[in-house]
Amino acid sequence: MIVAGDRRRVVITGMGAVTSLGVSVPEVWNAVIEGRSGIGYIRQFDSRAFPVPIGSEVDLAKVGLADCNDLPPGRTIRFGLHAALEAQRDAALNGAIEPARCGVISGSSAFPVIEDRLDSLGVLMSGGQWDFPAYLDYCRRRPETLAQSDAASISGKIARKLGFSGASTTVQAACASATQAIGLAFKKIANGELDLAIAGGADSMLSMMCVAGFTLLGALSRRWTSPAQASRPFDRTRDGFVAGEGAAMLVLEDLESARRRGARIYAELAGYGSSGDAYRFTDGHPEGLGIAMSMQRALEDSNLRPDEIAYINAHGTSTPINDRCETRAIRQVFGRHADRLPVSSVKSELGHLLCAAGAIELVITVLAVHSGVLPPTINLSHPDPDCDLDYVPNSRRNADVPAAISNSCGFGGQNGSLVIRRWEAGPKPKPRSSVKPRSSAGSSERVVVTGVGVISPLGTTARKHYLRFLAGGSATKPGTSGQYPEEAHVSAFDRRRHISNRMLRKILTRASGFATVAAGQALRDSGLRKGQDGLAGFGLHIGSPGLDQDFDVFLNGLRVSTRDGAFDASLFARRGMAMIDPLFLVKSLPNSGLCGISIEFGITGPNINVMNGSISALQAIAAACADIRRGEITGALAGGYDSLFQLEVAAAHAVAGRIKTAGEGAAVLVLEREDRAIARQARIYAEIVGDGESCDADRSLQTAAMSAIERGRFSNVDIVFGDSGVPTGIAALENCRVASVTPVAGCCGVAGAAFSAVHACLASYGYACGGKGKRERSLVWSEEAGRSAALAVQPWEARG
Amino acid sequence: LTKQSQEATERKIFLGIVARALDRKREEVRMSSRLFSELGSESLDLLDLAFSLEMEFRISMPRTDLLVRAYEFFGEEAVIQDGVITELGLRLIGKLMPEVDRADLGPSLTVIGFRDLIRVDSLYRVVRRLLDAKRATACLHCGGKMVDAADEPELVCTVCGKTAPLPSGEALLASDLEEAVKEFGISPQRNDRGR
Repeated sequence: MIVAGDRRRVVITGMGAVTSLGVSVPEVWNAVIEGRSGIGYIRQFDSRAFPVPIGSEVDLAKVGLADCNDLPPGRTIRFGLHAALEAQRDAALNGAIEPARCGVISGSSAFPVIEDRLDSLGVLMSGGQWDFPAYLDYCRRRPETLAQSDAASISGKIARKLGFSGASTTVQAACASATQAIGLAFKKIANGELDLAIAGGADSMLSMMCVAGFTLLGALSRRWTSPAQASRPFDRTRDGFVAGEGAAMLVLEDLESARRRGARIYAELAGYGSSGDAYRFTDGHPEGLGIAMSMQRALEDSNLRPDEIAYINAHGTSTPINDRCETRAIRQVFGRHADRLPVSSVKSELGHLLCAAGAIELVITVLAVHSGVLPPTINLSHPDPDCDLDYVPNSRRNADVPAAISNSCGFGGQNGSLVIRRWEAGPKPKPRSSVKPRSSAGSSERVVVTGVGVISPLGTTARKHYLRFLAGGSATKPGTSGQYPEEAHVSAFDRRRHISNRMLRKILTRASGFATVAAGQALRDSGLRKGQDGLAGFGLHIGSPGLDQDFDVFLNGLRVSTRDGAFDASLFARRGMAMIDPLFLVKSLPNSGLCGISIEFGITGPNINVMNGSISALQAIAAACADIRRGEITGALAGGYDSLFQLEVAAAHAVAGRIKTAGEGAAVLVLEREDRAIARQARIYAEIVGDGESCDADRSLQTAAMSAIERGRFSNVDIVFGDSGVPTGIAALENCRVASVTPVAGCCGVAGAAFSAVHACLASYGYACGGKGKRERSLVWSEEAGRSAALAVQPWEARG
Repeated sequence: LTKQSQEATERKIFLGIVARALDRKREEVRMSSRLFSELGSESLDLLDLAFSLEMEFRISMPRTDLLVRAYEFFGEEAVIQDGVITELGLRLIGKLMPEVDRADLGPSLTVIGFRDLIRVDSLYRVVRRLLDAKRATACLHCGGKMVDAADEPELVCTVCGKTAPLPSGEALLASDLEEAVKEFGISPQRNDRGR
């Protein structure tokens, strides 16, 4: 394991892109620097009667389909794979690196393309409700419709295509997704977990229901009569963003690996910072505090001074608020240097690629640094007194760019900033101590657990849950929703009593409400409170479900848009759309649990939302441990949440025939650096000593478990918490017991592994006997579709 | 039901919806309360409120605010300059939002300051007019009385059974602006924004 202050350098050795302006990096770059707009009328659905029928749409015919034969037909994954293959070719990898040391980390969403079901609406709905048996029958006949909404598996599927078997993850942070994905990949390479990652984003939200959602929110530009002029970041007459789709992937590589194989190096990825606004769900902080913090952290991480940055690729969405606040944030971070600092937004040409935005924008930033050409902000013709920087208006400019920053901000308040440094042959690496040391390296690398919170079918506190689990109590009942044979619901829980923020009470889903309340319990359990200094250095690392959408919100709108049982697009545009809850898109954000916690408890620190199926919570906890060990944070709230009681999720499970009992819930841990926990005399439940991840199809669980056991230096394991059977051939596991919560609480998706993590911590503490019981050494694991993660947890002992 | 008692009932329902949407006790919400500064609304709340009112009263609320429509009508410069509302803008607000206190329409009113002037009765005024307009709608074909259709957002004639769309909030706003144009004797310069 690499200790803080001794991290590896990461370089970019390949890139790929799919956008409305072309399906390769050279095409996109040339169009962007020429200032061409890729925005036009949307063709993928009948948009003619829509109030905002414009978008930045990819020509699917140009995207290589030959490679997609065995993939589901969603646009997102096709774009992602196309860009990943281009990046892989561009880097000329030729199998030079061991597949187990390579991963795919991508930011994506895959909102269900409800259009696919429109031809059968008459059958799918009856009596004003979704008819589940009919819905299921439809999905059995057309399984590809379900695969399209399985965003969580995108990175894993691309990894398998590329033959990579190292850690692969899908990241969700709304419009900051790709930036956060690249940030996570950067850390994994820097700390030695991976040697190479294909990292970036892929997204397509130009489907009818997504465009309807953005329209209802009033977020889109209404300049539909002049599409090419609609996206006008920093212009006084800007009136909203233009939605786009596409993908971009970058090959991030350990410098030594790149040197060994003589790779062409575009630039160095020198630093990353993330933050949470902890302000409001869809309004950025008026002074841009969140994005200012992420830029600041990225600068510190890269050991660069503000005046060494020569270009900023802004988030610059073209909404009135974003562009004003981002401008203020840049002034705040760069002071007088801001007057000499060119800033531009390629959303003026490409629109907003949403979850993929940070990736294509980083590709452009890399090329700006590499080639010394700054891309212009087009349509900037009316100066805005609130936006008073040099935005490289309307035409490109040559410039010497030793270093640059790319920014992203997401709905919910997650931000990310990446620093790119020009690569020069034989550069002198700056001594890491030149600016300020990141941490007191070596003072403590131990990560301990000081608080737990649980909302589950077994109980709505960690104590109730755990004692009932130990007693073998079951919460499963025959299904009442008609979606599952058996169900285990969280009962007797009124989240309105537990969440103080009014807007959160309004918009959080049932599942993300669980997450917020469980986080509050964990904080109280550890003796920490909102607003305390103790939380200042905290991060937030959460595993979320891939789809958290209440399909009932569409019922009325779709019902009034049918004529003789057939869907009519103009009826939908005229009156159906107005009958859909205008907040539905906000309510279904897959990062809403994380943002709920951030807002409710004022946590502004580094964060990551992992959206990778049932292993997500363990990956989130592992990422938090890594951030604590490398000194970036002093502690974190980490865990996961889910609810399987959703139409689309239930249909997917029924088609796969995987589960008998569906459940729901959330569990969150408070992790802290050991010395901090000791200093404030916190009760310590357990120490997390190792983790492992694998995407090695046939033996992912074995590989992940072995890594966790090796990193934890475990000679034997007393007990394993998780669902899968014990793989053979691992000596440390020969005499262990296996304890699963699934038989008594149902399959709780992402929350299930989070419950297991809590069980492991409490078992380490001997909790059942008030901390005096037998203290056990355990492994927590989870496996889904060839992707696995594991944690090694042991009783905490004060060091002598 | 007399018109008066019907209006009183609708008023009560309206206030209940505002209180529920903003998570306030019913008695905290007065007609004169300011939505943003007093009741703590965020921008998302207004969307939520408009939607809840539409569903409850079967009406079609305008989805754009007065200032946005005004600069689509007159050109942005005529309504807002450097973030401050122009004299024409102030006259429009004074005419179209009669509930706003004249004293608040000072020469340095900003766009954000304008938002803070929006009160509970600003919303109610729109709801009231749309309800009245709905009741005044007569069937185009036979002149018969129209009522809410069973489960579509439209009106149906009690005599001949023909349907008609709900009165549009957007159209109402537009006709208010047309009227202001006549009254103030200025010519609109529609720009290219919006439909």
